[in-house]
Amino acid sequence: MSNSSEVTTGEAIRISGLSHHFGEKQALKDIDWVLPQKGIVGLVGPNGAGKTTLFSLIAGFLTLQKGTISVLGESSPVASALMGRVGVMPQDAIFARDISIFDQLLFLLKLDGYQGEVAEQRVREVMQRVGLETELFRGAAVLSHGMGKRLGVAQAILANPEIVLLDEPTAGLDPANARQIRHLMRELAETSLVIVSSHNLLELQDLIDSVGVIVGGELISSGTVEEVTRRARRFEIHLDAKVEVELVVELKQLSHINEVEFSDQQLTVSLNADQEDGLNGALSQLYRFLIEKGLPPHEVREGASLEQAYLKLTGEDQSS
Amino acid sequence: MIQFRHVLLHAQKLIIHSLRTGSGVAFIFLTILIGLSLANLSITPVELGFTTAEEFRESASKAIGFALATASLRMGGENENGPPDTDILSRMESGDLIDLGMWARYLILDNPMLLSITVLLLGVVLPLILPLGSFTAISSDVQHRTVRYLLPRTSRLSLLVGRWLGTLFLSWVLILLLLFSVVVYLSIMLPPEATESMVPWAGRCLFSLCCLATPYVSLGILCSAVFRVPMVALLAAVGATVGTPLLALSLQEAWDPLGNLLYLLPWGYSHELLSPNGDKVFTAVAYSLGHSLLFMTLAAWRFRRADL
Repeated sequence: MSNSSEVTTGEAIRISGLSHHFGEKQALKDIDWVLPQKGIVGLVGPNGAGKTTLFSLIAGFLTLQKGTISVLGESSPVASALMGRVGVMPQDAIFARDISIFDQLLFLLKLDGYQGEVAEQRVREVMQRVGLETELFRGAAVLSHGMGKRLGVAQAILANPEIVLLDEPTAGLDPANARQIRHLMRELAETSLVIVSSHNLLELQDLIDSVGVIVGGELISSGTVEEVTRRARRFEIHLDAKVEVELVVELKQLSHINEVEFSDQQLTVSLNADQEDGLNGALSQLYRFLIEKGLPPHEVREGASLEQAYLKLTGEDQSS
Repeated sequence: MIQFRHVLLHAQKLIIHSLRTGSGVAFIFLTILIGLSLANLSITPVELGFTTAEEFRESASKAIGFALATASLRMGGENENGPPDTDILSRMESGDLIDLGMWARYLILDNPMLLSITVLLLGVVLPLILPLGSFTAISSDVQHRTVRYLLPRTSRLSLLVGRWLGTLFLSWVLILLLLFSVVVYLSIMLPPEATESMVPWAGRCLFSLCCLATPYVSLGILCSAVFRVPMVALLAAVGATVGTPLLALSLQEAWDPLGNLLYLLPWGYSHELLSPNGDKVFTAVAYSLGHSLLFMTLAAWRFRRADL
């Protein structure tokens, strides 16, 4: 059963100086990251960036080479005190095809400390939560890809863990099933920390509370979605007059302006919101400049989605 | 650290899984079939009239005496200053190797001969069969990544020891069924009065074969923990079992002490599990347990550090 010893520091996971390599290949480089006790944290990055390696280290699948990972106050992710308190949905693990799902989940729940009818009832509840209650007494061989994903989520949340790691939980799911899993994640996040890796950034934008962007084994950005997207904030500004080159040259000299693109009556401005006065200061400076030039904005649209921020951070916006 | 409850759960799951999926049942049937074939082989010369029972007993006594002498002397048990192994037969006939002669008589005359012959043959064949029951114990879950569902819930050591315990239990049950089948088969083939003396001797043989099985099961678990592809684990276990005596005996020709390589596996002492000398039996049992402990320690050391 879930052991709920208090972590007084208010953090569920603390990663310090974490590096990992596979032979010559450096998979993770000096990662420092602190994750809260509740909420949904997204882990995003290109293929091969090191997301699954980081997951595997937190889950204890890989042995630590350099650095430390403290989970729920325990200095090692494989500490005995953590057994059953961390639920993991690995990306590529499979269930035995010829043994009933019920028996397999019951076994896992017994390892988590549940017994007897309580355990059987809990398995039924969880399978109902993921919409697989009709498959309970069948083997995993009959499950579709999407159903297999949902079964993976079910086993991860069996024992009400305090931390849930989900590697691509909605990949391959139809919209209704994906929504069901997102709903489930939100429910879990009320009492637990849910870490989810996904390539579907539009989906993550509305789901997660904070995000870590990992590229080439390095955690290049982390924080709330607001914080991460603000660092690469872009605005589309429509003017009533044609944009002149001289205006763009002057605009680029302002302290809060990172980049300016223009076409006809439209300016696309990337603001630097990292300065002391933040986004408000940057916007004030931009508006003041345009009004002084007699070009009040006709329409302003914020274009900094998580996806745009991600593309900018990873440098993939230029290659596309 | 080991959690006893988890060890039992893993052992129980392995046994149930083996029986439900049919792999364990197939393993048991295959082994019993081989055991019965060996029993049939031992009874065939008399049954087909190639020889009389007395002549067969005499030939078997000589053959077993020669085999025991070869095994004991080659292992350096009694030949420190003795003549070369080629003189074994003449030494036996001259009464030089009286202990070994007594040992052969103990197996052939004092106890049911056919059961002894079958068990001696099983002592050679079982080490080659046992890896079939253990090669998937860990490697299959690692290959399919199913182990990743287990690792957040249980320690690696509990998993390893649990799987070992389950495999060992299955192997012991297998040996029990095997001997039971052989005794029933021989009871059908032999006169009724021969059956009574067979039961207590079968108990002793069961003990010896279970002791013999323990290190070989541990070797299978070691290979299963080291190699993540089950077929490679199987080949490694069988290869080591077959290769060790071949290597040791061929290297011994070049330099005698290299024959001790045979002690890397129980080949060097396993025959002593059926010795009439209690001290030798005790020593062989101790070696078996030592080998098992060594293999499991290596398996634990490797498995705890493995990236899964």
